[in-house]
Amino acid sequence: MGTPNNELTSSGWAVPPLASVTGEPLLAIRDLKVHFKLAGRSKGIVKAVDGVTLDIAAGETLGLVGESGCGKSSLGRAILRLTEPTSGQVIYRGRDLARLTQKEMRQHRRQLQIIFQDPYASLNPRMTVGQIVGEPLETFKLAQGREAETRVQELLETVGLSKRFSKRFPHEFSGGQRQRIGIARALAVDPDFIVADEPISALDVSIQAQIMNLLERLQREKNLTYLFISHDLRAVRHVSDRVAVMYLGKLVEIAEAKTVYADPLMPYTRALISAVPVPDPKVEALRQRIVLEGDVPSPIDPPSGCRFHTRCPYAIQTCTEVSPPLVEIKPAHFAACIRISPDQPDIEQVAPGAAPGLDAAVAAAGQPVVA
Amino acid sequence: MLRFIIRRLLITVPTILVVLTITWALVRLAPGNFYSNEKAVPAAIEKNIREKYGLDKPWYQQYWKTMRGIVRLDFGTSLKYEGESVNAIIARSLPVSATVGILAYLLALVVGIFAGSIAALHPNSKRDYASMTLAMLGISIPNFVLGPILVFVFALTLYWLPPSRWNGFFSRNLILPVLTLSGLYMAYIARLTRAGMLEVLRSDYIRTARAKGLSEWQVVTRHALRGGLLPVVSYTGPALAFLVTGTVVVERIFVLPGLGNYFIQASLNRDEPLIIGIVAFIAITLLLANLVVDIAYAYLDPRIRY
Repeated sequence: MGTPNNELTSSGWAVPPLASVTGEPLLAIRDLKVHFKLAGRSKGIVKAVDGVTLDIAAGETLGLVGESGCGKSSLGRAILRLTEPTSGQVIYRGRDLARLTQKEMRQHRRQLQIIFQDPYASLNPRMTVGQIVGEPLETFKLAQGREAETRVQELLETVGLSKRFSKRFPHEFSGGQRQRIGIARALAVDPDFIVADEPISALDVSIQAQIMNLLERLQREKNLTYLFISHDLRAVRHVSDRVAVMYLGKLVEIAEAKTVYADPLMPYTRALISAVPVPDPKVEALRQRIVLEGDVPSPIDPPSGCRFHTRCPYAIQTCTEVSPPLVEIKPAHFAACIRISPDQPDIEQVAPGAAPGLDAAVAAAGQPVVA
Repeated sequence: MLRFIIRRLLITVPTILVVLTITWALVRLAPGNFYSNEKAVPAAIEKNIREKYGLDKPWYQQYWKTMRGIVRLDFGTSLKYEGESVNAIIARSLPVSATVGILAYLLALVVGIFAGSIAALHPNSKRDYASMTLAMLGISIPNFVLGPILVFVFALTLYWLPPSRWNGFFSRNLILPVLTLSGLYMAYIARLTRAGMLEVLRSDYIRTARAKGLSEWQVVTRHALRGGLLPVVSYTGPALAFLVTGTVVVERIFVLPGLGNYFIQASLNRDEPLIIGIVAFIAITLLLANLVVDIAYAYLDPRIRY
């Protein structure tokens, strides 16, 4: 796994070394696309996820960040087939989840689970907590009767709730407690992989830390792998081993968490990180923000070339023409920008108008790189 | 819950008294009376009739007499069907109306929920458009048009089914009246089910149910239907009221000896005790039915607490 970009796996993709992990990835996403047809007469297609290639190693937490509407949640749901992917592969333990029948996929829901964003809407208001958490046990015939009840009570205690709560209804609980119920439900089938789809964004700040700590504890105890989706950059830094940044349906940068924050390569990532408020008034007053011009362009008709060129302060003419691939600019640090290259990683230092990454981009056209 | 039921039952009493007072007043205010359709009677005989039935007394005494009987659940005897008590007439005709009404409502529930669910599961598909077009027709065509059309097609043209008359509780004679009566509810329930299910199927907890690994059938029956049918449940109360007016028409078309038919006869005859008796009976039934609906509501949605 030492030589970058030219080692081919059985699937024929060039696989560079994974950051901080070795061995087979638990989940391999290949050129995944999720397109939505707009209803009505307009012929628009929303390209929520447009060609994402990504490996997730067993036991790691991969943070996925980006602005609202960049396709983070669509990617998470497409992995679990809660939204049908339009094309691409999701390889889990050697099987392509995207090509399974609905029935086969249901069996895989024992291994792949999801924690939803909204703890209010995602629990059926007409079921008791015991029914909500216990239903997967019954579906997969993992436990029945008294045994199932005991298991539900154990699960509730695992996530820090009283076992007496199983007879109550969701509306009797606070947001944080409800999110714990959602986590207990996801854990009921003893999965390996959990998509945490903005699990803390609907919660009070004081509760967010509790839920994050719970997720970290569960990861240690049960050897879980997380895809942690969030727009809260501080939360992602706190929990993630690696961080992937998404913009308009594409991955633009991916590296170890501390690297992304300390040394972001992409202009977009820099802008995102500069937008994080600092909880210290003195430091906050000195914080230099990189303010991007304009709004996120519509994913119905995304900009040509690099999708970020409409808002990028470093964009040149070529950026509107060439779609930049993810390139390993520094060891285990990938970015999708033609204006930087392994030799010239700092965009500030690149000569005006120069595009040192252009050759790599042209060479890699049609050959996605796995990060 | 028990307190709620008791409170609701207590409110029922004044409601029924108001309904009956209005009915009594309407019958009295209408011109004519129960013997005015017969040939003209001499003044002396008319005086005797009025004395016999207490019509010579002041109105408040007559009102009091009627109400006292109703409180004891004794509605008196019919003025037209001589010697027959109103209670006996209701007891005889109710099973006919109830059979037609209940069968019609059950048929409407089964077909309506099925069609509505199919439409909601495949929105904007051909199946959706087909069932919703039929539902629109069902709502638009009144039963006094639908009934004769069905009779014309299935009885007079195809000779498949008898066109009218009562022939016992489980006879083929019931098919056409039940179809005629249930058309509107079927259509309405299909539309309510579709709307309710569409809303529920969009909700996040349905996605949770899919993530749990449930099959689509389990997702619908265990998670979606219970919430999606709330509008249908709350429609049951008004539906029963419309069912009553519906049976009046349908029993007339198909010549069935039910409550509705007797009610029309009683109105034409100015048969005051029978009118008030049937109105009182229907009012009590509807109020109790609405109470049952409210209780069912609390069962379907645990967030509702009375």
